[in-house]
Parts: sequence; C-alpha cells; structure tokens
Amino acid sequence: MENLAFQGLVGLSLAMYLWLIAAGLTIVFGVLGILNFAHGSLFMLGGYFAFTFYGLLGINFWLSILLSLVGVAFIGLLMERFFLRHIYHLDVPYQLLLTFGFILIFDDAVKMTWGGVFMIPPMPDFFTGAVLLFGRPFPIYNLFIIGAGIGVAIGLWLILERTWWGRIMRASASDREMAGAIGVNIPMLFTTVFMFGAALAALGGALSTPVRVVAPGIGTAVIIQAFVVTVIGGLGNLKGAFFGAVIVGVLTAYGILLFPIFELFIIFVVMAVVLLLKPEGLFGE
Amino acid sequence: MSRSMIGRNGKIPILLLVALIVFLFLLPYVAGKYVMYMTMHILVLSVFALGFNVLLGYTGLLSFGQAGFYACGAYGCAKMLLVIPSLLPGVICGVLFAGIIALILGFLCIRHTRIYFAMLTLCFGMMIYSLAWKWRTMTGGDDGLVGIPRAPLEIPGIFSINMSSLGNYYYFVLIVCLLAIMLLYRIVNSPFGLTLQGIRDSESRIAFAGISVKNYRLIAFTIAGLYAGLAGALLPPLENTVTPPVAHWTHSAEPVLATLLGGIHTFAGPIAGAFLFYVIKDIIVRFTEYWLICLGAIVVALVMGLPGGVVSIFEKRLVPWIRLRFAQGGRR
Amino acid sequence: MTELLRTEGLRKAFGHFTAVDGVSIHFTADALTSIIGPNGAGKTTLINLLTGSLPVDSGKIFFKGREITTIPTDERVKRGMGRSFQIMNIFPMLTVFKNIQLPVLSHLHKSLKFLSRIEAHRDAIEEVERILGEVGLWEKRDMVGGELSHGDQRLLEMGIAIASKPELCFLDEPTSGMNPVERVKILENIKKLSQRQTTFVIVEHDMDVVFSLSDRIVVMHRGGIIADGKPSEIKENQNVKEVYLGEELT
Repeated sequence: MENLAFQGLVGLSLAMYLWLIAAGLTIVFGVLGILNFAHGSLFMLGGYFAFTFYGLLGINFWLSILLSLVGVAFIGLLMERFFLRHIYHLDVPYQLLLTFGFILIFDDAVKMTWGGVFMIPPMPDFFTGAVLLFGRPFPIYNLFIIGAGIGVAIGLWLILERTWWGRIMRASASDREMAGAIGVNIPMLFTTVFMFGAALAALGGALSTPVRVVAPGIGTAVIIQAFVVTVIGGLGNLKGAFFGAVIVGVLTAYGILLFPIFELFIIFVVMAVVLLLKPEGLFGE
Repeated sequence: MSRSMIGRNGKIPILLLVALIVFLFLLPYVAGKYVMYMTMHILVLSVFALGFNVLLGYTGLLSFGQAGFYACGAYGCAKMLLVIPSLLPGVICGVLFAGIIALILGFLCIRHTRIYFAMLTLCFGMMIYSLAWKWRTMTGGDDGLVGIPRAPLEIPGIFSINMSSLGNYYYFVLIVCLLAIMLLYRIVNSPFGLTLQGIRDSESRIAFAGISVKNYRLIAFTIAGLYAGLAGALLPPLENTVTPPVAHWTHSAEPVLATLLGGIHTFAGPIAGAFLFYVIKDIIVRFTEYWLICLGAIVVALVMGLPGGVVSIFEKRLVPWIRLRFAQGGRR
Repeated sequence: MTELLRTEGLRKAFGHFTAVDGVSIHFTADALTSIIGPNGAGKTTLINLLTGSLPVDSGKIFFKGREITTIPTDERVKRGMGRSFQIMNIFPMLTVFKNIQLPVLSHLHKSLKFLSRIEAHRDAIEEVERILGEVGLWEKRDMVGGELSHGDQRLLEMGIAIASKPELCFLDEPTSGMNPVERVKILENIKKLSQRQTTFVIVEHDMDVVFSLSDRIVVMHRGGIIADGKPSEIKENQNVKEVYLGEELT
C-alpha cells in the first residue's frame, strides 16, 4: 500500500515535467494553430543552456535557469519571425515538415556545440538529499519539481485570466479574425506567444537537468511524450494539458511498477483511445 | 498538371527510363559492393516512399507512422525466415503481415483527417515500436532478431537460386522493386488513382460524385502499408538482423523526407527523393559528420521555398531545356 | 407527374437559431423549381439537408418513394441526386477533363478499378467529351481547374453536377458572380438539360433568372415556406411582396 502511494508521488513528479513540456506546446497550438514538432528540441536546448551555465560555468542555479529561458526564447523568436511566419497559410503537413527540419538542425547543432556524448549535470547543493515519505527516501528535488509545476500552473492561470496579454491570447485562440478586426497586432502576438511557449519548454528542460542526462536525441524522445499529453488533455487546452500530464505521469509510474514490459505501450493505447473516441481530448470542447 | 511521367507528353522521355533500367541491371559488373549496397537501399526507400506518397500526394493524408508497417514487414519476414529458410515465403509473409496490420489500424485511423490523422499514425507507429522494443520473447527486444539467413530464392521442385552472393540478392531486390513500382504506377493512373486525387482535392465534392470517401482512404492506407511492409521485408536477408529502431518514428521520417525532397505531386518524386537522400547523406558524410543539420536545412529550404520538390525543378526548367538543346542539336 | 422527392416536417436548428422549421415539400419530375427568399431564409440549409450534407434534427425525406433521411450523401447520389455548390467546389488540382472524368467513372461504377489504365475506358472518355461539349469547355479541357476564370469554373461546377446523370439536381446560385454573357451560357445549359431526364431545383437571387426559367417558384422565409406556385401566382402574392419589401420582382 505504501508502495503504491510512493509510486504515486513518483508519478506526480514525472507528471510535472510532462506538464512543463506540454504547456508550451498546447499554448502555441491554441493561439497560433501550429503544432511545433521541434518543441522537444527547445526543451533539450533549455537543458543544455542551463547545464552550461550552472554546471560548466558555475553560475548561480536560479540565474542559470533564467538565462536559459532568455536564450531559448531568443531562438524561438528567430524561428517564428523568419520561418514559421511564412507558412501559417500552408497545410498542416508543411508545418510538421518544417518543424521537423528544425529538429534535425537542432540535434546536430547541439552535437556541434557540446559534443555528442551525454553529460551528467550536478545537483545543486541545496537540493541534494531525500526526505522520508511513505517509508522510502523521496528526493527533495522531486518535491521541488512538484511545487514548481504547480507554481507554473497557477502562474499561467493568473496570466491568462488576469493580464491584458493573457486575455488577448485567449481571444485570439478562439477567434483569430475577430481579434485582428478589433485591433490586436496579430503578428506581434504570435511572436510573443511562440517565445513564451519556447521559454516554457526551456523551463522544463532547465529544471530537469539535475535529474537527467543532457544528450542530443532527448528532443525527439520528449516531443512524443508532449504529444501524448496534449492529445489526451486536448490540443490547445491548458487545463487539459495539466491533467493530461498528471494522468500520463501517474499511469507511467504505476505501469513501471505493475506492468514493466508494457508501460510504454499502455500510454500509447490511452492516447489512441482518446483520439478515436474523443479527439478533442478529455477536457476539450 | 499531368500525372503521366512517361511518353511523348510526359516529363521523362522513355529512352532515359530504359537507359536507367539497363544501367541498373549492369550495375554489379561495373561497380563494387558498396555501390550495390547503397543502390539496394535506395530502391527499398523508393518503394517505402512511393507507398507513403499514395497517402500524402494522392489522397492528402500525412502519416508519420509508416515505420510501424515497415517493421511489421521486417519482423514478419525475419520470423518466417527463421522457421522456413526460403526467400519467397519470408518476403510474402512480411508483406501480408504489414498489410493486415495496416488494414486494421487503417480502419481506426481514417475516421479522422489532417492533424488527428497524423497524430494517430504517429501514435500507432510508436505502439508498434514499444512492442518491438519490450516484447523480448517475440521480437528479441532491444537486441532484435539475429542470425537471419539470406535464404535461397526457390520454388520447391522447380528451381533454387543461392542468394549468399550480394550480386544475386541485388538482382532479386532490383526485380521485386521494379515490379512493385510498375504496379503502383498502374494503380495511380487507374480510375482508382484518379478518385484518390479527387478525395485529396475536395472531400465534399467527391461525395457528390457518389464516392464513399472512407473506403477509398482505407484502401490507400492499406496500399501504403503493404508497400512499407515490402520495403521492410527486403531488409532482413540483406542485413541478417532486425532491430527495434526500424519502427521508431524517426524512421517514419525517411519516406517523408525522400518524398519532400523529390516532390509530392509527381509519381517519380519519391524515387528521385530516395536517390537524393542517400546521395546527400553520402556526400555530406565525407566532409563532416554533421549531415543531419544539412538535411534539416534542406528540408526547411524546401518547405519555405520549393514545395514542389526537386522534380518540379526538373519538370519546369531542366526538361524543356534538354528538349530545346536536342531540337537544336538535330538541326545542326 | 412522378414524385421525385418528398419531405415531412423537416427541421434543423443551430443552437437557438432554427434554420429550417417544419418544411414539408415535394418535387415532381416535370417541373423546374426555383427556391427564392431573403438571405437567412434557410434555402441553402434546406438543400444541405436534402442532399445529406447536414443531418436533420427531425422530419423525414423520401426519394423516389424510399426513405433517405439518414442515408449518406454518396448513397443519395448513387440513387439519382446531384448538386452544384454556391461556393466553388471543383477539383482545383485536376484538369477540366479529369474533373468531369471522375464523376463519370463513378457513375459507370468503375472507380474501384485499380489495375486498368484510365485511357482504356473509352466509354467514359466519350461521355466526358460529350459533357464538355455541352457545357462548352471542350477547348479548355487540359487547363487545370484552379486556373479557370470564375465563369468557367461555374460551368465546370455544372458539368460535374450533371456528369453523374442525376434525376434531381440542386443548383445553388448557379449564376452568382457571373457577367451577362456567362449567365446566358449557363441558362441555356440548364434549359437544354432539363429537356432530358434531369429535374432541376435552383436556389437563386437573380429574379430575371428565376422568372425566365421556372415552372414553379417556392418562397422561403425564416425557415418556412410562405408561398409555392406558378411564377404568375407568386408575382401577385401579397405575402411575398411584403417579405421582399418593395423590391422589384420582375
């Protein structure tokens, strides 16, 4: 019984990573209508930047995270402004293809800059150690992640509901033409939203560095997880992304515990079932 | 835009095509093992990509899960070869297995279009991957299946051709691929092929031509699956192993890239793209190990500037130029 | 006076807005009918319900005596219905020839043939040539659909609609956006074709067209039918005049 509860917590911390990845993806899809295949690569870049700053250059952990957000947001700016902007009118296949091209570019760019070997970032001092929960040691860092994930969720909710920018985002997401007609600067909005989504991905990547390796190819692994979560929760649906992440995270954790061979398979089955029965997602309209 | 690629009216003169085929048959005599090996891979990717383009270029559906069917073909063939070391049953088994899985999954996938279809195919492809990776008892798990014989091509009692020499297997792959390509050419230029294009162009209109769209999409999906399965089935006797990465979605990207490179809207586009894919990879790799970034840059450039792919340049500039030259040459 | 199509209490609502409100109507084989009415009257929605593009909320539809209320569009087409669209709906990437060839092959039950060359089906090709000649697009047969002028695309629209040899064909604003010359062409075509086995039901705004072509006019308003009769009767109808509020009917 305690095992199950503990595994649930493991699942919850896993869920928070998924939430951070999925949040940016689903916001970008909701407002811009673009499914960014390269979103996982932005996550990866966030990890690499953070690792470089605090792992190699010894900069303060929190500052490193901030810097990596800025760095990846800048890359997002370049992507949107010079490339994505020109294909909004094209069909979905072209979007997926273009962003797939970026996956290839980022994968090699990362190899060129940091080498192809995976690196293990150190854990910042104040997070080392574990806390006894349900009779087993639970890493403090994971508790931090759970807190951070919830914090991001609250923060995003505040931004969307309470700020002017957030309101414009929601308006444009539901009716782009109308938003443009009432004077919203759509190109500027798209750029800022894309940068924001990129920053969220980078946040996920940066926060995950102490607990996973940084390696090229993480981008392609992570994007699949992000897709699964956003599909289950509903494309463009932020609340759905949060709960979808929780579902996937907890299911994966229990899957590893109870059906170790098929836990990956089970997740895809759930995604397939949602797509077949309710393609708008469990929380979508 | 004429779909026909051959003939007086078409884009590639018959003479060129015949010359190409003759050259392919003479290849083992003029080139070494490496070139034969690469040509086989190009042929296999062509078949893979052509099947994929039946879905994209002709029916308007983007599938990111074709590698799943490729894997069905590969594993199906491998399992059969490990039991009956004979080439034909192996390949046929792989193709049929892929086709059946495609029919079943297709039934589920084609109820949706566009983005949900793409995601469903991605999802199913990865489901197959996860099975290939984890189901040790069936698929050998991480290590895959090994020791697959390059079995002889035989019809019991009639003939048996040994395939251990690379040249012999090359001819087998060449003939099978050429036959498959010719069959597909006939299919896309048939009334069925035309109907697929109509579905791509206007789903609402074609219902008013009395066409039940779902059925045709399912058939197109199955054809794509069968061709992916054929491509996959030709692999195990060549490499003697099959491993899970053949089912990963990044492998699904190969026919996508080949088709994009060569051109979505012509029949031969995927073939040209398969050729370009390997040539680019081969050339780039000699100068730098970073060939992915070059490929990525090309993909971005193509989507941004040249959605017709390389074959469109060929059609619009090169062929008229060639014709002009030869016409002038004749007069001199 | 064969009855082709009959509806009973057809109703369709979008949220709070009732687009079609209890429409019971029938169409017979010998009369060319026009459906007119102000914008938002429900004309196109009615056509969508009859052709199967939209599902009905309640009510029944009978075609040639058999109920078709829940039957999909392609099935209705196979039984003899046809339609042209108000918003251009041709096959933009195919040539004019192939635009027509598609429905012709389907009508000949040849769409599933995947092993024969298209050129081998001489009967289909002859039929396509005939239709192209009739609508006057023979010279442009090798042009890509998307490259045609607006008027020619409308002609092509009609060509596609009649290629399946429908007994009952709905034309949704067939002359919209056309110049006078093109309009004459289309009207001639409609007149010519209605001499054969096709019964046309036309949704139109242009009153000249309506009164020159129709044997029968149906007037819709706010989802219901307010008048139904011969052109001369409709001209005198008080309700209709009110609805059009002073617009010239002829």
